[in-house]
Amino acid sequence: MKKIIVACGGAVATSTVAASAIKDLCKANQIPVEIIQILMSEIESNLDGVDLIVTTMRIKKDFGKPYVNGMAFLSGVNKETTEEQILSYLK
Amino acid sequence: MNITNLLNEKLICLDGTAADSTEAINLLGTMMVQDGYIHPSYIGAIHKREINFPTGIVLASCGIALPHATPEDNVFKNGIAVLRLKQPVQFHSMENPDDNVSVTLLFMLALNGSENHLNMLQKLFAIFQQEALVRCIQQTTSAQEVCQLMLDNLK
Repeated sequence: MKKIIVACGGAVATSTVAASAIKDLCKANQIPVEIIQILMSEIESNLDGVDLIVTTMRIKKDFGKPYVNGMAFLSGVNKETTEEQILSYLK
Repeated sequence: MNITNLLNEKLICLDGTAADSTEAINLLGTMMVQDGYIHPSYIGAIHKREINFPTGIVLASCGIALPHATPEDNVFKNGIAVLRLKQPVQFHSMENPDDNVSVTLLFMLALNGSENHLNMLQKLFAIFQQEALVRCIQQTTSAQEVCQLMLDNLK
């Protein structure tokens, strides 16, 4: 089971859109995942056992975990590249 | 969530002019206040949030912005206001706040949180990912068409 953090800045919860897309992507590729959907400010305290961090807003801080920018799941621009990137970290 | 009341022609302006992002947000907010969707304090909350969490997004065909805030008791009805500008204004990018995005289409979101709201949000982004739909919103002269197109795709 892979553990992925999907985070955004809050309010309308854009991370929900990204999280749902990632869930579908992993299902299609038969990768069992646990997705933790939180706010950007909560990443630091949820790093335990995490395989990948995806955010809809660029993070400057290095959390020492693989990181992918998930904006493509909102805009649709470069979505395939982002999907490949995510899969490369989970395989 | 009642999708039908999310949008109406009074919440859509297709020939707006604004000098900057602040003015554009005020235009959207005014439409929502006048139609009874929000209290003016929600506009202030949006301005504040935009500073820390900007909402400019680069789509395949244009730049959009989704100004919104966390609703307190200042959102009376769930709604989306649409503003199309003749000349773009600069928003900071949601992806990277250091970058600017030239924005001609704005969608102000006033949504009280719930499961329905998240479902609706996914459908909204699905609209943004369909170039043909975004182009239609960019080019049409009919507010009613924008309204119908959005509602049909949010159902």
